[in-house]
Amino acid sequence: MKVLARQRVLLTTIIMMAPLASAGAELAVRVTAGGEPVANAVVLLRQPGLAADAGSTAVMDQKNYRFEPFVLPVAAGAPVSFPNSDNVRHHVYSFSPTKRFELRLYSGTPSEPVVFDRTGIVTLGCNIHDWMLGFIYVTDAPRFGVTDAGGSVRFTDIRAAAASIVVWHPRMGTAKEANWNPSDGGALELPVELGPPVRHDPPEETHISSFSRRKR
Amino acid sequence: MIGSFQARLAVVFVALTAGALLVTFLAVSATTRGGVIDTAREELKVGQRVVEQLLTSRVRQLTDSANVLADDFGFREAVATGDAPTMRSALANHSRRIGANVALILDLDGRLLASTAARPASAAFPWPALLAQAEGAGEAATVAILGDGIYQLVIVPVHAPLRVAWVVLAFALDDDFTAAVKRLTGMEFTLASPVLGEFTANSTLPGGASEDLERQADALLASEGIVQEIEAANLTFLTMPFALNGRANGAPVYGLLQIPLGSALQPYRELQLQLLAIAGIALFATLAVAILLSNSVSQPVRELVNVAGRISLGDYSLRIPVKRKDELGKLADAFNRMQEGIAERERKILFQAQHDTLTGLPNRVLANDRLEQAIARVRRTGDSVAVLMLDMDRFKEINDTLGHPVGDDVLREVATRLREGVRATDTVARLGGDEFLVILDSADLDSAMEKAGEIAARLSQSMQVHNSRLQISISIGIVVCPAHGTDAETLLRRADIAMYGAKQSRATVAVYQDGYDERYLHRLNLIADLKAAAENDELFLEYQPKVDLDSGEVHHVEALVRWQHPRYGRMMPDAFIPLAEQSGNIALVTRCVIERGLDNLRDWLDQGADVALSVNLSAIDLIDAELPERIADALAARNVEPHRLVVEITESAIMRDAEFAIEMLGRLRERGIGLSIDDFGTGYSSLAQLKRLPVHNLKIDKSFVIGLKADSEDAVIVKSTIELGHNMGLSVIAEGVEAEETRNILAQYHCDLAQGYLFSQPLSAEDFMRWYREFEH
Repeated sequence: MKVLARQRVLLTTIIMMAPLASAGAELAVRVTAGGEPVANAVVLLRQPGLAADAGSTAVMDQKNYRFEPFVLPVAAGAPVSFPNSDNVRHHVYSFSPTKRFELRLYSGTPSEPVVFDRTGIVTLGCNIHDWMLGFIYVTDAPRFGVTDAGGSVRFTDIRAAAASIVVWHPRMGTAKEANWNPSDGGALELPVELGPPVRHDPPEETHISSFSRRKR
Repeated sequence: MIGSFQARLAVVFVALTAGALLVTFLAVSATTRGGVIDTAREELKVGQRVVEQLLTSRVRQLTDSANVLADDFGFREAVATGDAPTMRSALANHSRRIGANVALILDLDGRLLASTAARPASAAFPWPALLAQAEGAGEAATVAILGDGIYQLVIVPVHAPLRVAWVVLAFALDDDFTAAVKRLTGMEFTLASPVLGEFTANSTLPGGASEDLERQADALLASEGIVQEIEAANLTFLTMPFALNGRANGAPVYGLLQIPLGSALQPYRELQLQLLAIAGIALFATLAVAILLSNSVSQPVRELVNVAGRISLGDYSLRIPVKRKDELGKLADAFNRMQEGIAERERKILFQAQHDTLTGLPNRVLANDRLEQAIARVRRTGDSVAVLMLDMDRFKEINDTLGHPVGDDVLREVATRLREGVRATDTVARLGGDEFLVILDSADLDSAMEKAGEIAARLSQSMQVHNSRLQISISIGIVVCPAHGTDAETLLRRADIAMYGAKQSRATVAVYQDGYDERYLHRLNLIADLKAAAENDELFLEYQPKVDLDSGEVHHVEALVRWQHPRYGRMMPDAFIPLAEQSGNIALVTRCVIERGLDNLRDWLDQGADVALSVNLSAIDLIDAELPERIADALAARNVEPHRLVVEITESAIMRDAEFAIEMLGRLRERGIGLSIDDFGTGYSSLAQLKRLPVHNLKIDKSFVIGLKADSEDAVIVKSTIELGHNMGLSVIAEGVEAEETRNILAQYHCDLAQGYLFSQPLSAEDFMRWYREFEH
């Protein structure tokens, strides 16, 4: 709670300091559900004339029998590498229409990253470890981010103009859209409704997990 | 053989045992049957749990299988394609692997994506509740109807890796399943549903039972979870219907667990048979015990009955052997003692019954018996037997004057002398009172008369009794058998008659004469009739006037009693007065005479006649101490002056007990009643006695008067009697005056009064009054 309060003070300070410029504006979006921050929410920001960030290879790691990160937003056409940081093999697959692929049993990093050229949501699974679940959000939005544990994502160097915001979370059936105007200030709170939790943690009692942890 | 006691005891024993056994049998049967049924009920409930457990374990198994299918990467890949033919082929392929009969794929909204069913299923999933359950729990199962069969459905999700679809697998609950249930539970098991074409789907019951169950489907399903008795395939089953699925999952499916009642009751039947066997043995044993027990009682009782029967017949010789120490033994002992006691008392009683206690002589009963024996002997031998009937003269006077103790001693002395006077073979018996009987064996009339004389002489010897010397006289009647009779009754009666004859003739001994008997009977009849005569007005009075010879006037009249007997006609006093005296009826006659006579006298007096009435009193009347009083009362009642009544008493009556007679006469005289001595001249009275008699008149006996002639011997007697009377201050009456000459002689002798046919025969009261009036004028 103390930490949260300090952040809020900081956030407020940031918003107050934000200059009303046509470029180089900043927006902090905070996603909440029932007043609680929502982590791992994908937030897209569109502004006419806003250039996309320079693309870089995104990484969807498999670590401790989890996909890491849980949700990974990527720009359409961007390659995503699937390194395996565990000491067991994984069999990553996606039956999603956006991108069907299958990385048969492997360890280490596959030679070729997977390119997601169509926008949409790709649900990732592991054929060996049923609980493993991950999402890749393929978007054509110039700016996107994932909320941190505080439910916030920060956009910098955006235009001080009206922006359309889209928020999506695996627990949300459909994405939520919102609009932002610079007059609204540099902070935007987006309350959302979440569905039932999506389990993606390895079973607590699994000895595989403890074994791998010990190994590391 | 079996007496009623025995039979009753056996019946009671057997009935009691049978009753107890029946109650036990019924109670045990009811309890056992209830227990057996309850046990079957419990078994059925256990069976239900077994079925449910079986279904649950199948669900686990089938769900696991379904999960394996749903997790198969290839299958998931096929589902993920969204291509129906691919999905269908994958479904068919994979479901065959795990033996599912039907498989479906549903999308997350429950829409059918693919099916292996031959018939194309409708788009909507028919068990939304199952789906909802699966959404909550991740998986679900139920029993449901699919097409014409009953299936177990399991629904599991397909993950890719998020849930993308549902796989529904159906496994038929077929004969293998029902057979497995039967194997596990030992019960018949049937799957049924009311929505099926046939009510039952699978059953372990033999063919044909299905229709029976279908008929009773409504009743069965109405009481779900309740055991009921159901007829099927000609057997009765304890049936437990229970639902296999929830109502939410479409058409209901039921399982029917059944135990044949027969097999359920098998142990009960065995118990019943055992009970029946035990009951049979118990009844047989009871019967045997009852017969033995009753025999041990009834056998000695029969012996006692036998002895008692003999005792009742007078046989006291049989003793009951006393073998036992129990109550029956004591009873037998008591019987023996009773028997001895009865025998002893019977001997005593017999002796008392046959002997006279005073003299120890045989009594009338034994005498009769001996006489019968003697008669029998006479019949046998042609011999003769004599019977002597003895009666003491004037024994009553001894008793009255000297007292009964003296009388008893006299009787004892007489008994002794009689006993001493006969042979030992002869019988001496006391018949009662002063009457004795002697039976002389082998005696003819002559020897009997000789013996009688001897006995009379022996008894007439004076005897010393209580400081007084007494002399008695006896009268003896003799009869001889067979001359005078051949039966005891006749002989005794005739001996009695002969004895009376002897008494009357003062002859001491008399032999029965033919004809005595009839007179005797006549007397008996008269005595019997006499009582009735007084009451029936058969007695009446006639009056004979007494004429004053001096004045020729009539102032006296004598009442003479007559008896108008219904059979013998008119009887004179001589014919019945002695009988009345002997039979104790004279008082009746006397009273009748006095009352009638006074009634008539009253009439005459009322009619102006100046007469006095004479009535005759008997010697017996003089004994009655109350007579003077009664006569006075009779006079007073009719208002007749005492001097108008004259009492006539015969000289012999007075002389029988002169002292008492004098006293009685004195009392009559005190009351003013006239007294007259009747029949004077026949009673041997002495002048001394005559002098003491307080009488007024003297009546000369008619035997001296009838045919009286001057200068005859009677004339002397009459003349001197008249003079004697006059000299003693008495008036003299002569009766029996029938001739004028007699009257003249009497008048010449100064006789005061005369009566007789010369003046008038005895007349009725009315005739006398008529005669009186004519005579006066």
